[in-house]
Amino acid sequence: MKRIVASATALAMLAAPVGAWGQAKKPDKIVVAAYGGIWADSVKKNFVPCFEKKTGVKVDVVTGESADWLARIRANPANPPIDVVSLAEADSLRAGQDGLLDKITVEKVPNFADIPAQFHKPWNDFSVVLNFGALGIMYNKDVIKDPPASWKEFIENTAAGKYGKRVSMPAGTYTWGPEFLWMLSQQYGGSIDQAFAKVKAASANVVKFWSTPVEALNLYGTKEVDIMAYWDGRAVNFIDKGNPWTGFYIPKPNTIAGSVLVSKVKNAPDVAWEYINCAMSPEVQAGHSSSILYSVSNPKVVVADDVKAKLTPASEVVFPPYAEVFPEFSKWIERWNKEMR
Amino acid sequence: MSAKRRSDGAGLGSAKALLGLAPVLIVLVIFFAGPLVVNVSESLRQPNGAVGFGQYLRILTDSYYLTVIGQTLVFGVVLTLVTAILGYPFGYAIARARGSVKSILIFAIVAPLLINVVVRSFGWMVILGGNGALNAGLAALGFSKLELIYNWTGVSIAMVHVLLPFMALSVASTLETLDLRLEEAAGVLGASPLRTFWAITFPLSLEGLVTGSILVFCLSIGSFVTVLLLGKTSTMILPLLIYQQLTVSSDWPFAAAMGVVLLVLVSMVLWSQSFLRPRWMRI
Repeated sequence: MKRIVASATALAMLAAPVGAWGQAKKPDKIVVAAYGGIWADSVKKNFVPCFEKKTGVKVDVVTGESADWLARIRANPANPPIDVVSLAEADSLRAGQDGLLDKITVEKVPNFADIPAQFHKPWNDFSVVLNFGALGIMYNKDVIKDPPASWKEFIENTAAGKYGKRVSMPAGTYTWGPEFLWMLSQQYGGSIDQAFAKVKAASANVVKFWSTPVEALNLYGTKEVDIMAYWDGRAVNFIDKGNPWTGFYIPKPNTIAGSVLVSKVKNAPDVAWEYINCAMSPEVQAGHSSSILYSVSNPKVVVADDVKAKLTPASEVVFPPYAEVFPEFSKWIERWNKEMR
Repeated sequence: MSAKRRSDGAGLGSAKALLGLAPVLIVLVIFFAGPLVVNVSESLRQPNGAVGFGQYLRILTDSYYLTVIGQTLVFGVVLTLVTAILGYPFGYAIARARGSVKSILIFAIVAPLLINVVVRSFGWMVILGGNGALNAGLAALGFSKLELIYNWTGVSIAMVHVLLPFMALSVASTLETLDLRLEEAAGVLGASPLRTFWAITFPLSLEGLVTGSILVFCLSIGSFVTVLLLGKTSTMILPLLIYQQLTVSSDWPFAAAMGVVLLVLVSMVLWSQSFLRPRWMRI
C-alpha cells in the first residue's frame, strides 16, 4: 500500500509541472464569441481556418449577445470562459475600463498597424472594429421622388409632414438608439436638447420607432412606411432579393456605424492574439466582407467590384467620442422614455 | 390529524421527512434564493460605490416610474379579468367535452404556446397592422380602419391570445372534478340551468378560476417582448424598463432595484388575493 501511494505521489509531482507548463504554452482550443446567423457562418468560414492553420489550436465558436458575454466574463475574470469576444461598443468601453480586456498593440498583433485610428481610439485600444454597418435611408422610389439629402432634411421634412405619417427610425432605446440621437445632435451644433425637440416634432408622423431591425423591415415590407432610417447591409440585402422599387443611400454629411468589435479577454491564453491578427488581416477581412456584405476596418482590403458597390466606405462613418458621450446614454434613454410618450 | 399531535414523533417534523425534502430545499436555495440575494445586493449599489437605497429612491420618488408601476399593475389586472371572462366558457367547454372534440379544443387553445413569442408577435403585426389582414378585410367591406397596433389594444389582444390556455385549462381541470350528480340533483329539485350554474357549478369552480388568475397575472406582468414589438414608448411596463437598463444602459443596480420592486408588488398582490377566496378555501 505504502509503495503504491509513494509512486502515485511521485507521478503526480512529475505530472503537475508538465501539466502547468503545457497549459501556459498552448491550450488545445480557444473560445471565440460571435453573433449568430451569417456572422457565425463567416467566422467559421474565414477566421477559424486562418487561425487553425497558423497555430494548430482549435476554435470553439459560441453564439449569443454582447450583454450575455460580458456577464460571463465578469463572473469569472481570472479564468474567463471566453478568450476572444465581440462586445458591442458600450460594453467594450466598459469592459476595457473595468480591466477585463488586454490592450491591443502592434507588437502582439502586427496587422493592427493597418487599422485606422477611428476604429480603435474610442476604446483606448482595448477593442478594435472588425466590421461595421452604416445607418442610411431606405425609401420607396415609387412614392418618394425627392428623398432628403441630409439627416437634417429627413427629420425636419418628417416633422413638416412631407412624407405623411409613413416614416420610421430607430427608437432611442434601441441598442444604437443613443448613437442615433448623438448623430442628430451633431446636425444641430452638438445640442442634444435640439435633437430631442426635433425628434419629438417628427414623432407625430412616425408610425413606430423601431426597436429591432427585423421589426423595421416588417414595417417597410408591409408598406406601413415609405421612408425609414435603416442599416446598409440589411437594406441592400432587401433590394437584392427582388425589390427594385426600394432605394438606399447614406444622407449627408455622414452617419453612425453599428460595429462589431473584437477584443482579447484578460487571462485568456496568448495564442488568442493570433486569432485577432487573423481577424485584422486583409485577406481574412476580404472574405468576411464578401460573406456578410458589410464594410470592414482594414483599408487594404480588396473585394470584387460588385461587392464594393454595396459597401459604405469608412470615410462616411463617424464614431461618437464614446468615453465622453457614453455616461450620457442612460440619461438619454430615461429622457426618451419620458418625453416620447 | 395534524403532524404536531402524533405521539410517536413522526410527521413533518421528523428527520426522515426533512431528508426527503433536502434535495428540493438545496435546489431552491441555490437557484432561487441565491440569485435573489445577488439581485438584492446589486440593487443596493450606488454610482459612487456606496451601499444604500439610492436606486429605490430613484424609482419611488419619480412620477414617471410610479406611473409605469401603476400601468404594469393595471395591465396585469385587466388581462386577468379579460382572460377570466373569455377563458371560463372555454374551460367549461373543455371539461364537458369528450373524446376527439376535447382533444381538438385543448389543442386549439394551447396552440399559441407552441410558437415562439417573437414569431407570434410578428404574426400579430401582420394581422393587426395598418395594412394588415384585418384592416384590409374591413377596407374591402367598406369600413374604416381600426387602430389595433402600437397601443394597449393590440398588446392586450396578443397577450390574451397566449394567456388564455392558462386560465381555460385551470378552470377545466377543476370543473372535471365536479360531480355531475350535484348539478343533476339541483335540476331534479327544480332549479333552472342558470340557477344551477350560479348556485352550484360556479362556486365549486372558483378554485380553478383563482389558480388561473394567479398564473395569468404573474405571467402578464413579467412579459415584455410582446409589449416591445406591438406597443410604443407610451405603453411602458416595468419588465420592459428592466430589459432596457440591462441591454442598452447597462445600469445593473437600477435594473436590480426595479426587479426587486416588481417582485415585491407581485408578492403583495398574490398575498392579498388569498383574502378573496371564500373562508372554506383558505388553508
